[in-house]
Amino acid sequence: MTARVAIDLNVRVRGDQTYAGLEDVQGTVVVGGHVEVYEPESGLTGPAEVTEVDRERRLVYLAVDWRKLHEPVRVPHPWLVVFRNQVWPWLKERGREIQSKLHAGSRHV
Amino acid sequence: MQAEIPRDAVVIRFRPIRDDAVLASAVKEYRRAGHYRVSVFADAARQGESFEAVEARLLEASELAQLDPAANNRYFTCTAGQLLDRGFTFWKDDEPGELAEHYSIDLGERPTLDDVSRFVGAFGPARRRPA
Repeated sequence: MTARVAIDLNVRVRGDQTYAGLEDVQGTVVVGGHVEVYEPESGLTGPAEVTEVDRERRLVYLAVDWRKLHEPVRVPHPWLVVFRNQVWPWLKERGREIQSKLHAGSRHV
Repeated sequence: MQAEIPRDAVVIRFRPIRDDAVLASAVKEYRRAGHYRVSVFADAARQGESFEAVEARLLEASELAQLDPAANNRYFTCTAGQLLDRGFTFWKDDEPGELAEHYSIDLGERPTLDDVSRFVGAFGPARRRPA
């Protein structure tokens, strides 16, 4: 499974690279390995390659493909899918029925 | 090396912008380089260049200009003067290949969340990418 690393979008070192703390890593990182980086506040995510693991300072250096960072893909909650696909159409249909009955009733008054 | 930067230079800070996250970033920089600094992108306007045009140029330099403009509340802006007035200084890391538009802001010795709030407070509300 690909490791995930939380980063700060502003940080640039060694030219266009960035770094994070080992405490920001979920999973295992090795030099040359590919990881997924993400920025926790925005959820922006994208690919990166590990260029160095500094165990003494507990830092990991990353070559991020900055231009491939993208908005997070939001997976809707299963209950929201059920509501959107089944409950909401049913409610809309019942609403239409009630409206047409009210409308018919008002014509007889 | 401490950098001289015009007071009207445009400064962009991407997320994270929460005080605790900014402080965590500064602490990591201390671990890496021995000083409590956080990164920003900044540059002065060229002749006739608008604030928005500088913003667009900084986004391009950061390689984050591709973010969806409709959803892009990912960065915050201020002027260099607003940070200087709060007592902060701009630094270049002097590393080979450092981007010209990349600066580090020194938060001082052992900064607290109050110091970070002072830094974050210089920035205005989240900005959309210029059209």
